[in-house]
Amino acid sequence: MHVEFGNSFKKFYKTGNFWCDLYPTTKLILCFTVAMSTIVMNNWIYGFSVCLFYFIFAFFTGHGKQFTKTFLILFVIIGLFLVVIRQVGMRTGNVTPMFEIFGWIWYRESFITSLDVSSYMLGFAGGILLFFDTTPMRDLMYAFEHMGVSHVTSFIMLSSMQNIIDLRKTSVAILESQKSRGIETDGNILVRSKAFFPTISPLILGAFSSTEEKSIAMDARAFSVKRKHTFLRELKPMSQIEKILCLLFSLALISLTVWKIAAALIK
Amino acid sequence: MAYIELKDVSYRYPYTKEQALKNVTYSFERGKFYGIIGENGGGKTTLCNLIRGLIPHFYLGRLKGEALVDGVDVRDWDTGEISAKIGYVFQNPFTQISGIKETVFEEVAIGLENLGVPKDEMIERVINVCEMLNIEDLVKNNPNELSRGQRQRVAFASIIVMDTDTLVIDEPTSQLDPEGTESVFEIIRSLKESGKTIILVEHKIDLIAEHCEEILVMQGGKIAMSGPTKAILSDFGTLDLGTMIPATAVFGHAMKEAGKPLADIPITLDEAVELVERRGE
Repeated sequence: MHVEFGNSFKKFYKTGNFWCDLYPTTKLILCFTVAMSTIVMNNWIYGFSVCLFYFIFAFFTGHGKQFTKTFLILFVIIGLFLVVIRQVGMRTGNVTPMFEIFGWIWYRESFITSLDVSSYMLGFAGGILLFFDTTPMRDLMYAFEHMGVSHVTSFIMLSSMQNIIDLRKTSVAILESQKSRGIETDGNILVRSKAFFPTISPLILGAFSSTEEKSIAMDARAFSVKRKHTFLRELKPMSQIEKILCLLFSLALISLTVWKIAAALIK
Repeated sequence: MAYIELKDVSYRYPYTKEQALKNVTYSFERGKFYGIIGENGGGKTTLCNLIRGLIPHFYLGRLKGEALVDGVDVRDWDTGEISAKIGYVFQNPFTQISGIKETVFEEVAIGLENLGVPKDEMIERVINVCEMLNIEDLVKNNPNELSRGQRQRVAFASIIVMDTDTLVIDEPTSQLDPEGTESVFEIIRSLKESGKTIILVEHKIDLIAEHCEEILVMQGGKIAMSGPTKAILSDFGTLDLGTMIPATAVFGHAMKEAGKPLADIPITLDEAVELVERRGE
C-alpha cells in the first residue's frame, strides 16, 4: 500500500475536477480579473450576477458548502451593512422616496448607489474567496516557488497556518491545566478574561521556544542548503489553453477598464 | 582516522558569563557508536550543537579552539551542506514536524527535496526508510495528527532518509513512554548495524550500556571521563560525576563486596546472566 502511495507521486497531482486541477496561477488570474471587473463595472446587476455565478461555480467545484458559509457572513457584514450605512450617509441627490421605516425615509438613489458599492465589494471579495477555497495554500506556494519566490517565504506562509492551529491547541492545554489547578475558567466574560490573560505569557514564550526548535529541525533537513530543490508532489504545468484563457480574461478586463474610463471622460 | 575532531574547544552562549563547554578535546571516529551521558547542564546538548554546526552559525556566542568535521572547521562549513553530512534528531517530537506537509510520506521527503534529489530516487528512498522504521501504515496520515512516539519515528525517518554519514541524537526518548522508547531504540539498533557514526545523548543508562562502544561523561562543560563503555559503566567512580551506572554493574559491585565476586562487572543484563551462570558452574 505504501509503495503504491509513494508511486502515486510520480504522476502530476490531480483532483479530477476541471477547475481545481488548473494551475494555481491560472485560477488566480481568472478569479482576479472577474473580481476586478465588478469594481470596474460598478453596477449592482452585474455585481450580484457575478456573485450568483460564484455560488453556482463553487458547487460545481465541490467547494459550495464551504464557500456559501463564508460568503454569507461576508454578505451580511459587507452587503447589508453598506446598504444601511449608505442610506444614513448619503445626504445629496436623494429625490425619489421608496418607503419609510419608523420615520426613516429610504430613497431610491441612495439605495441603488449602496447596491452598486456592496455588489462590487462582494464581487471582489467573492472572487478572492473562491480562489482561496478552491486552491490549497501549498499549491499556490508551489506555483510561486516556480516563479522564483524563495522557499523560505513559502515555508513561512505555510507554517504560519499550522502555527495558528498549534497555538490554539497550546492555549486550550494551558487553560485545561489552569482548570486542573482549581482556577475558574468557565463562567461570564470577566471570569474567562481573568483566566485567559495569565495564559498569554506561557503561550508566547512557548511559541518562541518551539520556533527555535522548528528552525533547528528544518535546518537538519537541509533547508538552508544552496542547491536547486526538487518537488515530490508536482502540479501539471500551465497548459497552452490556460495561457490563452488568462490572456483573454486579462485583455477583457483591460478593454472594460479603457471603455469605462473613455465613457466617463465623454460624459 | 578522526571524523570529528575537537581541539581545546570552549564555548559561551550569547549573554551568558559561564562557559557551556570548557577546553574540550576529543576525537570521534567514523563508524563508531558514542554515548554522551552526564548531569543536566553538563554541556551534552551544547556539544551536539557544536558537532552539528549550530554553534557558531545558529547560536552565535563565543567559540574558541578548533572543531573539525571531516577536516573542515565548523566555522567554515556552509550550514546547509553540513546538514547533508550530519543528521540531527532531538527531544521534542512536536517541533520536529514541519507543519507544511499533508502526509507522512511528503514529510519524510522534505530533506531530499531540499537536497535536490530526483523524484524517482526520492520515492524509492522514502519507501525504503518507511519500511525500515515500520511506518508504512502511517504514510497517508497527516503528520500533525500523530502521537508523540509516531512523530519521533517520523522525525527519525526524515533524517535517516537523507543518508548522512553521522547522526547526532539528543535525548530522543525523554518525552516518550516505554513503548515509544523501545521503538526508538529499535531504530537505533538498525542504524548501528548500518555502520553509521552515531552520537547519542541519553539518560537511560541500561540502553546506553547495551548499544554504545565509547562513552563520554560530561560535567560542568568538560569531558570528565571517556573511554570504552565497559570501562566507564563498570566504574563506581562514574557515580560521582552526577550520572548513573547500570543496575547490573551495581549488582556486580555488591557481589564483590559480599565476598562473592563475579568474574567481571556486568553492564548489561545478558552479561550478568552469563556471569552468574558461569559462577554457578
